[in-house]
Amino acid sequence: MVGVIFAQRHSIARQFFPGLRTGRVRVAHSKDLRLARLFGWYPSLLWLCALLCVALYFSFLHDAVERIAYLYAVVPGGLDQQPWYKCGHLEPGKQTTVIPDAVLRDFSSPTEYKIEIVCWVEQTGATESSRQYKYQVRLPSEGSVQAILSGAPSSSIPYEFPMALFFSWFVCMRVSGVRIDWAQGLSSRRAGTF
Amino acid sequence: MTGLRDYLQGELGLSDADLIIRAPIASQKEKYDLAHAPGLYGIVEYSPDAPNLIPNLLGPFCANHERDIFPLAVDGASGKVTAWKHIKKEANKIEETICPIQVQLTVGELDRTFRESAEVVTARGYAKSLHPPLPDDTKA
Repeated sequence: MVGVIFAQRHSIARQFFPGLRTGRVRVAHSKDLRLARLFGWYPSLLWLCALLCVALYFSFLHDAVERIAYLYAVVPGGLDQQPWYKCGHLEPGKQTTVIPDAVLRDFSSPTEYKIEIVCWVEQTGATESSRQYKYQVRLPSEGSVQAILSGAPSSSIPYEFPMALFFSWFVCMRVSGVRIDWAQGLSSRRAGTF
Repeated sequence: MTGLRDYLQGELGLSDADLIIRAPIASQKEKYDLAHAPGLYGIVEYSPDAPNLIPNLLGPFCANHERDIFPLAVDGASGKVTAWKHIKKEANKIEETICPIQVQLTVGELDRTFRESAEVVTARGYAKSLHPPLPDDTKA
């Protein structure tokens, strides 16, 4: 990313400092000056976008942790007693279901975490496809979150694509917004100013 | 990008004082009439003090409607445009209106007179300039 920006430095320079120097003043066309004023805000825009990407990344990360807890939680009994099955077969209009005794385990952690799952159905239209199954997981401690983060199988991580997308966007925008010290050093070294 | 800006500023030899006290000034815009094309004009943006700044041309425009003109009908024998139109683009709609201007030129002749008329204006401006360009005027 830094290399691409450095390779484009001449075009960027024309955007930042348009026009020609004549004597002690610089003259530029009004359109170029207008563009330069707008381009001056570009680094700030990158920083704002980077912050937005971080916020979205953590939002998806929290949703992924909650979803893993929901899918991996078990309760004593058969298949029809499991939280994901019970919540997935709720009837519309039925009261919110609370599963207070679900247990989270099998994350390479000797500790078992008791979690509470609340689920309900939202019907936005008359058709069955408009039925939305919602759930909320109450995790007991930060330890349970860390167990999920470190022990969840990588192939089962939900929202992997948006998380990867926002994280890589953040890195790109962050790199674009920071000082490009190595590029400056490289140029100075080539010019023999060291 | 903020670091890159500082680096580029240094490479161009511009100090902070240059940017603050001597901020770049806008070149001047001048309207001019097109020779052999009554009713049409162009706008040239240039700086009399900086001949190396390539002039920016806008137009040609019709003086009646102050809009760009395009050929509507062309005489097959001479290649001269016999009728002109304006094109207005809005969202997904393109609206064409006929312009009553009477200019009998080919598209090439119009383009040539548009540029040559601009050159006359800029040459006059450069000749009148009170501040002849200094030797370092080619620097960015």
